[in-house]
Amino acid sequence: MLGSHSLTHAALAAVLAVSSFSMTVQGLFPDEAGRIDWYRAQIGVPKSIVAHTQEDRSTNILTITDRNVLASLNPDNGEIAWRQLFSPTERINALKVRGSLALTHSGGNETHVRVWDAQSGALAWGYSQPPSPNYQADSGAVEFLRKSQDVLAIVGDSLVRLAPNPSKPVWELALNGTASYKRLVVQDNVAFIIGDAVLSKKQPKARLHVVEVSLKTGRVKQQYDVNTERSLGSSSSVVLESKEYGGYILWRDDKNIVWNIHRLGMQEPMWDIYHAKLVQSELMPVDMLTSTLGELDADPGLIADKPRFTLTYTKDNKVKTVVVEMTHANDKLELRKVVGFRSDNAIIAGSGGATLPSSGASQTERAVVAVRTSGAVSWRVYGSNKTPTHSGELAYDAATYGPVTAASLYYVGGDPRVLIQTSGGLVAALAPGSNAPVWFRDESLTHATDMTFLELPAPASSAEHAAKATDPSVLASPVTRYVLRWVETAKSLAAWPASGFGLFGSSSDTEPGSGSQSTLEALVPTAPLTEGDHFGFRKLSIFGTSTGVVAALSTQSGARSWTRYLADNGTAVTVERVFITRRSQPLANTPSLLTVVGRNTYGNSVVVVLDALTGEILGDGGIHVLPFNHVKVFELPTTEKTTEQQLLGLATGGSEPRLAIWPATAEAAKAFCALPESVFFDLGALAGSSQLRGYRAECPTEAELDPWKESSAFLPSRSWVFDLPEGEVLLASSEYHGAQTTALLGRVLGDRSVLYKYINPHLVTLASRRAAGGIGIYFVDRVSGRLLYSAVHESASVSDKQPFLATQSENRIIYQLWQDSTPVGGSTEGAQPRSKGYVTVVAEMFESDKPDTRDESKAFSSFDLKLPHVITTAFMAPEPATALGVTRTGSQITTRDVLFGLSSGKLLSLPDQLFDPRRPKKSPTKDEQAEGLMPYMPSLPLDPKRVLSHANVVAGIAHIKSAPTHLESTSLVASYGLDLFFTRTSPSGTFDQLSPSFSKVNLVVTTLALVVGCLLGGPMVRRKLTNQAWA
Amino acid sequence: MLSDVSQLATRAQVVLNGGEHRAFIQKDGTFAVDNVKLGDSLLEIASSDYVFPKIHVRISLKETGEGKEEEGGRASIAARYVQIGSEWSDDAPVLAYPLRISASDKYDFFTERQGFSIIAMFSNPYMMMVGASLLAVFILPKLQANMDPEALKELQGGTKE
Repeated sequence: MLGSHSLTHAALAAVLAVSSFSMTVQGLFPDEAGRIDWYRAQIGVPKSIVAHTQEDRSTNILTITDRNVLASLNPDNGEIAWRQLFSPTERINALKVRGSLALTHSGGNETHVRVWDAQSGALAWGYSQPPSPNYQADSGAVEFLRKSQDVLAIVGDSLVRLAPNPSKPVWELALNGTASYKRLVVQDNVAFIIGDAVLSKKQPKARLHVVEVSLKTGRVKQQYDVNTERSLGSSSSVVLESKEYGGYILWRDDKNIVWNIHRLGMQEPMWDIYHAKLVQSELMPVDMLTSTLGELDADPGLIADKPRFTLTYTKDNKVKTVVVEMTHANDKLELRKVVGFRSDNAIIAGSGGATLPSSGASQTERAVVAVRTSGAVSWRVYGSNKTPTHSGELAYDAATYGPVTAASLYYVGGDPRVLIQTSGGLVAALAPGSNAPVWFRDESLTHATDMTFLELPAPASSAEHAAKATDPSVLASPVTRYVLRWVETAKSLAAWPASGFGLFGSSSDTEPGSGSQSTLEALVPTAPLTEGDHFGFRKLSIFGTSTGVVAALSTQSGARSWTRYLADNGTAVTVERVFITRRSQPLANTPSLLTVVGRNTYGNSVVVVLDALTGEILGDGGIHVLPFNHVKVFELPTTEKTTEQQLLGLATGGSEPRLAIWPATAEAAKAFCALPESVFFDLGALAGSSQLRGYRAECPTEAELDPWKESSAFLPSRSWVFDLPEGEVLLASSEYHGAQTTALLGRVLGDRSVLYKYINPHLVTLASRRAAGGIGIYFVDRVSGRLLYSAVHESASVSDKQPFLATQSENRIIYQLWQDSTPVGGSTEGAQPRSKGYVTVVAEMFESDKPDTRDESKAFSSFDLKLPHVITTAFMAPEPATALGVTRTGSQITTRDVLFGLSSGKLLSLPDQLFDPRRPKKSPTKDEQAEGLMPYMPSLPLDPKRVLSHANVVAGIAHIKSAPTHLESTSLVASYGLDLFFTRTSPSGTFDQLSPSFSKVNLVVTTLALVVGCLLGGPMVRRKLTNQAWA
Repeated sequence: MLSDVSQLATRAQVVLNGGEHRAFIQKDGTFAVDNVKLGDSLLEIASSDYVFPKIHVRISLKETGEGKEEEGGRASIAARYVQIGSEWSDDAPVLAYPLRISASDKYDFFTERQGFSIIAMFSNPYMMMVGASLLAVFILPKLQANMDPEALKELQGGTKE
């Protein structure tokens, strides 16, 4: 008796022991890194590219991008050698390269000039100019001086000469806001700065203002206006720089057929006249009227012994380009044609190649590339001959990343490489003799505005596929499908011994198309991902970008499944939201639908419906441009009956907003009006607004719904206005995203009583800037407009650089803001701050402050709502965060982790328990101990074991999204912004999975050993019993 | 802790007041933050691999002879280490200027995977319980058998009464 009792105990203990093993797992194992997650470092879309040749003749590509990144790329594979991230608000305006140094000019009125070591990416030295009241927008330029390490720069409203490691400039010249200076021409002893003069009542005519400055003293030698209506950077003017002959401005006035050439510094005569016919004899006066001029070199101060430019004109419906070079013959200026070629729909670019000062400009570095952008992308490199020296083609479909918008040329060991860039954000390097790119970078997702997950159908067995082809009725019933699957399993079981009991190489983790493939296949995936896995780890993450690209990536490997470029009238659609509006059943013939909502260049709302699995644009119209512009888009809780498509609401702004629906059909309008409850919506935080308005959509009579057009809309009535207190301005609003699931309605306290959670799906969180300083927080009910809770953070501030972040999940709202000081009880003004830093505030809402009390009414109504009991607490954040998120699992039984995107490039996941506002601040009572509340600590820990991104530097995280998997323990986490990082995490441990170290072989061997033991031991025991009986 | 500072140049930045100002780090590890306003600031090194202390920087104008603060006068800087979550105190020692900041730790993001070990398995409290139970099952009857039958009877009798 005693024996059997203790045996059951032992079995129980063993089970507990096994389960406790799995619970202690915390942190990431080294072998999981890169296997359960993937990471892609990105830079943004290049604004300027300069190839930089080093002492050892190796080349690097330096680039500045529209995401304020300075990066060096490997010319052979396009990988990032190094990158430097500028502040998100600090625009990089210019990049210059000399020898081993790179020079950047960034910022606006507050300007930064920095010199970088081009090899390592380290800062060599930098200079910052404080803002000036006389600053003219867009002014700014920078250039190295000749024969010196010094730098000349237009910063703010000044011209400065900077020596390395400046504490202050060698000299500074105030420009007094006379012009928006954009160009700097450096000569041996003087420099010219050229700007578009500021127009005044006295001098209302556009003109260029030129200032000649002595490099030694910084004194103005002369300044004057050049009377041309052409501004800098127009397509009818160029600035030419030459070491030998000085600087020139060349332009063609409107309705004129001659060129005016002004030599910088020369006022008498102000300009010479030149006839383009001397350069290109076939040019007729009428062709000149529409001709354009263009500069060729990204860094002209470098290689311009003979400065050059392009003349492009149309003759007999053919576009031609002539490269013109400036020389001097017998002390007389002369323009000479270098080469001319056909250039229909082409982009012309010079070699952006910076060379060593000693090597001089060789012929290859004077080459020009013409890239044809319509139809197939083809390119030709011209030297000084009419026949191209190199040419090539790229198999590229503009429907994936948009048309080519920019090109540049560089050389690797004498071979030309053509770098093209598309409006969608693709960068590709092309080489002669191949229709595939040497390498490419997909930078479109650095402009991602929204992302959604698409559940992929679980892999169907081959038997199911066969059944679909022969007898689809089998698939209709889950029972027959189950049988079908068992048959398949039985068959594979029979083949199991032959495969070596699955011991060798079962690679279930790899997915189709993720193996080795050519760059062309990678650029244009041939087979979209259409099947998921059994655990739901493999989904499609579908991104929409402001560059018009919609792209679907595998959440498991990051492999692109499809890409689609959306354009209206040739310009990209700015995609704002992406919605999955229909989820297809496995093996069904109706595809899942993706509805993309964006705007065209005129601000009109644009809706596009795509097949979510293949990216195919559906519908006859393709891109629907709607006759209004929306302010807010949201999902409506109903579907159109015939197409089973979920409805979207598009609310327009103004004093009388309208609510349009998509799909814009009478059927959908009827479904909308058939909703049991009215639809309430708000317009969110409109810029500069001091109130939040709530609306209720009204349904007209049934007759008015037919016919329903794309321009039709419901006229909602304003149901409430939530006015902020006097002088406050709305900064941000946040709401619940997607359907919320709750596993537990309340929290069980230590004494077994229950605090019921207050869950209101219509809750909107508002943040406002107070007139007296500080930030106000309001929780508002969207249906009734009632204020549920408010708080004031007196010393908090919110700005572009110190953002307000908020996330709502279940009955908890977490937000973060910058706290300049934390005044404690009656602090006086002017007192020294007690601390500064980001503060994470948690507000948890309960139905009542008394346990076991809840609203017993059956239906939830916002109109007879009791105010929630809100418990809040604040923590100091360990590091500045740029994004906030919460993990999501299938039934939300697993606790949530709160996710932080930190500015140091980490994705941190902290357990839910840390954010419990009920954490006791004094020593915990017995009940609190029993409830498992941790004592309060003022700071949140940065535990490296909880950094999901581990050693990866995930820069610029702007959004964190999470999706459930089929395993309750595990949740997918995706972060995007600049870099992409996808992983999966198990906040409560992987309680529903075997650990990867679990050995199935051991299990089989142990079971077999036990069986053998029983078989051997059985007869022995029987014999012993028989012997005992005889004794 | 960090022997080669040049690797910080592209992997770390200096952040003032949570992003109000940013500064890059030079190859030799030096940095400068420009155009900082007077008053108190929080200086952090945003590094993905190393832990750096946080520093409270107080910039104040040096008083001139007349005891008035003067625009453009020379500023004095007092820097002190601070802990996140605790109040800034003026009692902490002032750091030497220019600041010399060194990494206090390197982040270790990974947990070593525990291999199979007999000792680890048996040091688990549950396994110990199992062991004790097994001992009780197998050894106790043996002890019972070895006991003097009279003593056993006495023991059983004692419990019965």
